[in-house]
Amino acid sequence: MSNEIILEARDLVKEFPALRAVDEVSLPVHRGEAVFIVGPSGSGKSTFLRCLNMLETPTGGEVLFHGKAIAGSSASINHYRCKVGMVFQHFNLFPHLTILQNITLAPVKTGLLPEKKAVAEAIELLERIGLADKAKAYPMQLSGGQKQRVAIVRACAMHPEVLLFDEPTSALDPEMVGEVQNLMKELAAEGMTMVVVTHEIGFAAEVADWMVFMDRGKILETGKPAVLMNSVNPRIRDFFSKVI
Amino acid sequence: MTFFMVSALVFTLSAADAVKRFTVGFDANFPPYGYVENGEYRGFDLDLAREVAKRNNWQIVLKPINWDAKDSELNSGMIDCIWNGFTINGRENSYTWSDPYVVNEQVVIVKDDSPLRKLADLKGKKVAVQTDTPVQKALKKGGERYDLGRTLSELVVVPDYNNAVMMLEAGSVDAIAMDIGVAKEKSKKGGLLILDEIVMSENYGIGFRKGDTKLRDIVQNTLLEMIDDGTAARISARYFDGKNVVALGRIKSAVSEDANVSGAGFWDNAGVVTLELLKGLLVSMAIFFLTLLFALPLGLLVACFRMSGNFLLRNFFRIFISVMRGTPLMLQLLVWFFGPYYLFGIQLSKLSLFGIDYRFIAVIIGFSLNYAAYFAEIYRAGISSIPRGQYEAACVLGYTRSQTFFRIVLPQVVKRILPPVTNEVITLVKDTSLAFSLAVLEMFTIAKQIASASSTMLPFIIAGVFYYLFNFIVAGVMSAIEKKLNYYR
Ligand SMILES: Nc1ncnc2c1ncn2[C@@H]1O[C@H](COP(=O)(O)OP(=O)(O)OP(=O)(O)O)[C@@H](O)[C@H]1O
Ligand SMILES: [Mg+2]
Repeated sequence: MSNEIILEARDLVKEFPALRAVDEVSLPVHRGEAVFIVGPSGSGKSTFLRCLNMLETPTGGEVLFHGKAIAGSSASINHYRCKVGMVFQHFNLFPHLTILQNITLAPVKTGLLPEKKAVAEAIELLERIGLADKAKAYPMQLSGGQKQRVAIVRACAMHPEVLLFDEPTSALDPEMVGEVQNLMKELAAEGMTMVVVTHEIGFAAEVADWMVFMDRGKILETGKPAVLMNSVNPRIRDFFSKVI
Repeated sequence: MTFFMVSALVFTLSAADAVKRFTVGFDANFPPYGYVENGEYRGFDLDLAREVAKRNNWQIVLKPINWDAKDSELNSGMIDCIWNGFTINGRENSYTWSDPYVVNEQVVIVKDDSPLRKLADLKGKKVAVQTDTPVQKALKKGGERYDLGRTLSELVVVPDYNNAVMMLEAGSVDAIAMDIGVAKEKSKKGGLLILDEIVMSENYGIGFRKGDTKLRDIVQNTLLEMIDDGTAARISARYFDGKNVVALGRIKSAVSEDANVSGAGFWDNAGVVTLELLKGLLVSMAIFFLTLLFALPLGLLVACFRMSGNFLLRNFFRIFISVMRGTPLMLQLLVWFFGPYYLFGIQLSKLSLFGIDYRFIAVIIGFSLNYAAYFAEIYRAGISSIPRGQYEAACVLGYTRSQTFFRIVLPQVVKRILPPVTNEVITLVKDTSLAFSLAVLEMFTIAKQIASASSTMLPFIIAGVFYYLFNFIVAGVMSAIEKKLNYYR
């Protein structure tokens, strides 16, 4: 773990017509860290995460990438998005493309890699997750856990510096949760910088370098998992007592 | 009990007996013989028919008919006769005729500023005729005035005289050949001139169901009475000013009652008809493919504008779609065709492109824009049915907006909209027949012409088979595409 801050939210605000979903949130993310965001439903975790890669346009504050504010032209936002991958709760694979095409299309289209290289890398990634034989298959032929692992690999194919996960296992049948979590653990161990929103507290406690507790759009407390889970804040205590 | 039933029966019978109904079929678009004025049926023939009914103590029923269906109306007993400036010449054997009561001339009208003055001047010109009229038959190949017809550059067959006059005014045809009674009526409003030289003359009679000589004789005798006592002349004076227009009198009929029915066998006939229809089918297919060629991409463009963030653009195309879907295609075709002349005074003959008549171009414009509107709504539904996650996934992978649309969204939209598009495409096959309203000779137009000329349903049956086969192939192709796209869900 270095001291270099890759990604940083400063006083980030996202207001919807009816409410402030994210309320002046500041959070630095250092290279190689796995930051896990937990908190009650509706507390703004997803909205915050989506502000980090501009899927939601923040209404206040700023997001800094390597110290530079992300803003302005859609071209520069696009460039930034190539560096920050995202994995969704519902996988969002492209159903009309094969698994291989799902992985290679973006690096080739955005000019990151020539086609041959992209295919070679994709095969390598698929071998690593044991799905090389599915390269020519379509997403509909895969199980949920396999789909999510492909989605993670698809994000990795862009050579991102940060990966964002929004509840990557909550749409999965219980027996498939493990395989996805194992892959995420491997990535964390290899030093991938990750920001993860999850309700799987046990998994978070095991993998997280930092755990962030959000409530009503604000970060209530940040700390090592063991510290946060024994917080004196009654709201946090209450939350953990219910989910564990 | 029995008594009541019997008396009720007697009552019904005597009521039916007391007033015989005399049902006259006519084309309500044929002034001055039969037309609508202030919501009432008027006309020379209708007044004659009323008088005949009155003198026989009949209750008259005036029944406007679809001219193409006149034979079915008569043969099925829906009407008792066709009394409608009805030309005997060429139809001698199809009906039981009264003696001719009008000798009518077929003339040519032109715009009064036109240099055309003689029939010989029509050489190389476009002349309009109404579909299934004697003058159309006469000018056609094999007709008695083919000597004149062959000199024309084109014989334009139009659905009705109003259409023909609009085309003449708009410069899309140079002249119209028509019945002198109608010509006088049309030239009343000015700007039109009737050439002195006539194309031919013909006899009008009353057409009865073949073999119904009993009714024919009663009507004919009453009519003769009316001619003798001057009633017919008085009625004539209401509708015709020039006395040489209609020669009313006893004219010996050239009609022979027992002439035998057309000798050509059913199957000989079918061959000729099929060949004619195949020519029309080519035109129908041209309309079909050109419409798809333009409307499919245009629809996508319209859908994009319809979903645009720009308020003006979005609402302009919302209105465009609503107008295109909310008005009849036939009306739109008329607007595209006549619009340039009536709105901007452009002579339509100048609008032809690469030698393609503007009528056909107007059909393609009308069809393409109309179908583009339908396709646009299908595309729009398809595009909005793509889950947001697909856009977000593409977005976070760094795709640009156009890459997202063409690589991720559109391929999925195509698969989803295939069933509704198939429906539209099949409707289009059948809609091509609407080109009739601009006198484009596609298959259905030709079927109608042959059918009314030969008094058989055969051309319709054959045309129906062709439409079905065409659609069968279209449906087959579409389901093959659907299968091909079935590799994913
Ligand atoms: N597009 C939107 N428009 C209006 N309100 C929104 C929108 N997206 C989210 N919200 C609201 O913002 C608040 C935060 O939502 P968010 O999805 O970020 O919560 P969350 O912490 O991810 O909850 P969960 O654990 O259930 O996923 C909620 O009250 C939600 O209803
Ligand atoms: Mg959420």
